[in-house]
Amino acid sequence: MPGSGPTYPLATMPPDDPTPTPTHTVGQRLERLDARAKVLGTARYADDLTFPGLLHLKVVFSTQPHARVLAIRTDAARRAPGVRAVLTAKDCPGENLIPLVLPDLTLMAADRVRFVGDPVAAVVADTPEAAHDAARLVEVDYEPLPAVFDVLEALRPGAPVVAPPISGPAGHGGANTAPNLFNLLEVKKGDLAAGFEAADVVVEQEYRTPYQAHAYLETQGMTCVPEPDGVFAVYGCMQCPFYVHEAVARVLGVPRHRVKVIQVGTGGGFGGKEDVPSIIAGLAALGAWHTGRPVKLVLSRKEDFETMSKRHPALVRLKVGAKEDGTLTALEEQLWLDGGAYATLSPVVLYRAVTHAAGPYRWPAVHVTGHAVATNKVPCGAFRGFGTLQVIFALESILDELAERLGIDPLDLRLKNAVRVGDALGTNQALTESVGFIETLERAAEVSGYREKRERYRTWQEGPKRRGVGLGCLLYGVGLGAKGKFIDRTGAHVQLYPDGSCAVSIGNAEMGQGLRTVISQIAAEELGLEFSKVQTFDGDTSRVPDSGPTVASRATVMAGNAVRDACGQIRRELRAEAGLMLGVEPDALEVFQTWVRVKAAPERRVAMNDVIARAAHARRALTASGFRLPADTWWSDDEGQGKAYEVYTYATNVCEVEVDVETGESRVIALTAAHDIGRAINPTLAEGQIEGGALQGLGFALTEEVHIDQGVIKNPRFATYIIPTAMDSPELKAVIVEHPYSGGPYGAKGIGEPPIMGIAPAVTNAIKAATGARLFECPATPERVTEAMKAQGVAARDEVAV
Amino acid sequence: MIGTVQRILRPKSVDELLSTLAELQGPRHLLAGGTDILVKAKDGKVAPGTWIDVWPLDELRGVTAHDDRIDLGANVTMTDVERSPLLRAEARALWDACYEAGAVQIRNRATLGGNVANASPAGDSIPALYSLGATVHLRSVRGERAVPIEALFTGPGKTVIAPDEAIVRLSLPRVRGAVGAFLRLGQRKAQAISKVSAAATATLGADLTVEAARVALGAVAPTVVRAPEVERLLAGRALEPGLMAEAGELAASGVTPITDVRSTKVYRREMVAVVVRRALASLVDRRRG
Amino acid sequence: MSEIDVGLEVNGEQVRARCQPHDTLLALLRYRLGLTGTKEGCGEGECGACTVFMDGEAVDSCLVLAAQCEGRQVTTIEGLGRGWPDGLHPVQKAFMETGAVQCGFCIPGIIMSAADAITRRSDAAREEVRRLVAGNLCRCTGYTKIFDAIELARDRVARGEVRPEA
Repeated sequence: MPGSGPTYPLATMPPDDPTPTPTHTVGQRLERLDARAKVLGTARYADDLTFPGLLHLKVVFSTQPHARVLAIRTDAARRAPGVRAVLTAKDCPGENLIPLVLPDLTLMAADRVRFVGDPVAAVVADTPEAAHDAARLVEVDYEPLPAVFDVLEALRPGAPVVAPPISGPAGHGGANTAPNLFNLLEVKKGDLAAGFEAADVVVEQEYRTPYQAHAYLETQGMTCVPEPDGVFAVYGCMQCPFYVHEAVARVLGVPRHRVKVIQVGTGGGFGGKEDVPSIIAGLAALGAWHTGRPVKLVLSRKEDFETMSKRHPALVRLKVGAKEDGTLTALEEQLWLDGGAYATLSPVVLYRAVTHAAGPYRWPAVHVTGHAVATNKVPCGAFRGFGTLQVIFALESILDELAERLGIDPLDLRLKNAVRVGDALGTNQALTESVGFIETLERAAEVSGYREKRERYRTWQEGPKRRGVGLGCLLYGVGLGAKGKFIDRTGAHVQLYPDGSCAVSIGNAEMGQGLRTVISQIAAEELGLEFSKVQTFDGDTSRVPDSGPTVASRATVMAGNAVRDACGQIRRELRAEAGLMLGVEPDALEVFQTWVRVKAAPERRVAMNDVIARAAHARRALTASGFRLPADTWWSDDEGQGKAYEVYTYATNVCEVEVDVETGESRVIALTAAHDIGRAINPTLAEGQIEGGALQGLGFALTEEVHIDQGVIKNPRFATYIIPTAMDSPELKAVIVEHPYSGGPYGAKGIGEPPIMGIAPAVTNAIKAATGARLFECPATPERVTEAMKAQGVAARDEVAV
Repeated sequence: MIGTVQRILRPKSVDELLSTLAELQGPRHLLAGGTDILVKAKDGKVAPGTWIDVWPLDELRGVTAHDDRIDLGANVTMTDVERSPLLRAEARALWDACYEAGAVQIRNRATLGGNVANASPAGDSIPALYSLGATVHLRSVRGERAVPIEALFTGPGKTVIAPDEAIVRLSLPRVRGAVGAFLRLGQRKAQAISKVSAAATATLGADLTVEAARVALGAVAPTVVRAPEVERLLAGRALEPGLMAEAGELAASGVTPITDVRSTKVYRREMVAVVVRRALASLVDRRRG
Repeated sequence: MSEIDVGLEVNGEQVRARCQPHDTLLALLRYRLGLTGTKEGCGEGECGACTVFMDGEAVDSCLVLAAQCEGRQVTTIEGLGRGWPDGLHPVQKAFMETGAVQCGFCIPGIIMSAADAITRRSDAAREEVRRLVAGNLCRCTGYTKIFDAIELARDRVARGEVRPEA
């Protein structure tokens, strides 16, 4: 297989007996483990923690988009009341570096700032107020450098160099070999010229998508506590404890066993707590190193908006062709992602973008060229969807344009070209199982009443309020895929107690999605325990295996499989013990719900509790570690092809919108989202992911954008960065489709990210259906809708042509 | 925020408040519900000084109906307005504005006196108060004066209120049979600052003839503005669709709004026509019951 | 700037605390009294994560100065369930049961608003429920299960299925 990196052996862990159905916990709507603490207000988040002798850190951020740092004058700040330390880049005992894909992100800018918001100094003081006041006394002398804010300008010869060429570790999504180009990736399949030659209709268009801020309700926060044995303990909100672990060790210049990272309650992540928590933790750790005392850093909402990562804005040029009967023939795309000042995760975001650009459709010919570009703006990183919302907006918009030109309903165009088992994606990856895309199309259409509404709204609608329905479809590669497999592994630790209760530790993070609950369900199922007997604990890097990041909708699959591995080992012991109790060979036994029974004679059984008590008494090993690698994937940069991800989640969104054609305001009436997630371990939690992601998607579609002028964010507040309120939430209908994946626990695939994807084009396609006006850029603000109507000659009072 | 509140005084009566204001040197800030001033203070936009908490002053609370007017204490909250059947019946534009403003937590603390003193061109109660012909009563140790609301504002955040004066109440003339409406466009359906707003209050004859009308616009100029040309156009004519559309266009032609993070000048200007027309249409609907 | 002394009733208990003049009620609760259930999401009255009851009305505690709380009664998420079976207000129980909780950071605030809403408007239809909790931003749930929870609690209370114990 032409992989670009080393190949990895697959973990071999078939469970020793197949899980019987019906399951007693998997697939059940069980209450989350943390529900009670969260409704009582006792759940603890980063800023809720306090420690004796706690100091507070305030960051001094760059006010310049691009400048040489001539001097940082800290004397006045040092003399201010209550100040314990004022720190700059030269105070890093280890490396001034946050390790990500490319080694370019500094903890604090040393000699050059690259964006408004680059940390340049940190003030540590007795109180938050003292730190705040003293931070204002730090003076930085800048020599402004020419700055660049646009992706196309940044790639022109002679443009100001934001990011000089630099190389990263082999295989990690490539290196930026040209100035300001973090990465360039291509996807190539078939004969493009022949594809367009074969087309009866060709549509070509340019699309733009905006920044999106995660707007998690809890801002970034970390406390670093120096412990007496020389260990630095870090507590805070995060998705990736082991990223933080590595960053803190490198910043402090200590071996990794001198650092432990404990993830506490995390008030929303959505990708925004993937990479940047390492910066927050690094700063707190630096403060703790220099003062010998616990140091806390919690960002204000404004600081968080101004300095933390965002979704990449994108420019997409897309050209597609189809035959008269709707058969797709060719797709050509050029994509530019605005990565901002540092590479952070841009190379791998770009990888996901290009590999998803052709969507869940059969294309004989594909050529996608993607660029991740440096500009003097806030760095963009991970955000739910990870580069896909941009390409999906373009693709799903242009498919509707194509459908209109062909005189085919958009649903039929998609059904005609939808991938099935046996087809190949735009990356030429053959799909071998678990492809439920068509069922999502059918179910979403049925539940939403798509065809009836499409027909009803086609005819004349009176008054200024016009309705339309639109589609937005997608696929999503579960897990880190070929460009991320070098860090893709998961471990778990399971301990069964003699009283029949069980503790599970995993290396992945609970951030609201319900991972701990799902893992408890899986462990309970595997060990024949009641759900209430299994507690899954939050991560502590000193006690749980490095399980990679909690991103990419990978945790249920990866951590779930690791837990099954551990439970399988324990179950072998339990069956051996039960064999003695029942007088049969262990192989003749199976775990069924909370019993162990004889396969051939199910009425002969013993309660699992009794088995556990005896097994414990017999000193059997009731503790086990599990470990899993993902199914193998590969990618060839040269060929622009590969098995990019091990399996895909598929989804169809149907949006029904009512547009006030006089004001341009769009009200979403209903949104139906059908997702093939393999198997829902907990349908309530899965629906929660779908509903929440859908509303974030509606924010992206309708109201959310970051206004940046000369590198300065003009709306860094909840009053001006507009996320949906309860009044803006439509009727959300989550539909779960289950095409099981053989490599996932109980058939599960991922669900975290897909719900936000494909919402924006469903909205703008519905707006087009309602008004006749096509938006080539989102969000579809009333200003843009009224402009589009004017520009496209669709008058507010005229009959709407469909 | 830190340092902005140098000290905080809590007078026990309006008289004590006024004598405090008279004696104080330097910057002083009246604090009622805090929903505007604390946001500004946290953003570093309030000069360090003495803060005076007027929230506990019950003398400034209460909605009182007189034969010829309704008095609203400066501390009347938006929630008080929302819960008042009298104001819903007789000051509908104000009721609409308060019903839609902010969210429960904000309406529970935001006072009319505070909203007026904050003098934002996007402050939702202000166009409504313009349309209702409100008078603002300012008091100091020197005495009390009545200022028509539209004479109160000199710019964004700027008023004619003297440093020793406090708003004590607003009064609305009671006009039998008047109907009113407030309409706005925001960036979302709740917790939104208006991009553009319009308030209209009018008395309409049985044939929908406009006997008297006041129309005011928010967020399209440095202060809330009245639209006198629109009022003249409407006077004595029946509110029919053509006239309402014409009124909207006329209102739009009279404003020169700006572009900011919430909207564009083009959109705002065009929307003035829509919100004015719709506010007038709403008067007709309400007149017909 | 000198410290001030504030006396108030929090969750039924009289407390006194030394505060800075600029301290908010939120800071008083979280950092002086250790009641960290009330959260700060924005500090400027947009997100509602800091919602508490002050003299029975829902307020954003980030926009009330501690100095303004002298002699006031404040109820926080820690005190909401007092007197209800199992220490859980019907809204809290319903949030647990319907899966209305995800990351949980907005939840104390939104539960306060929801409790206020069903007390004042026991007949509130979904549209009114939406309006009454519109001052609380949630980024995780899409609000759907939150509305379900509020309606469940509202109906249980209206039908007398759950009553305060005290």
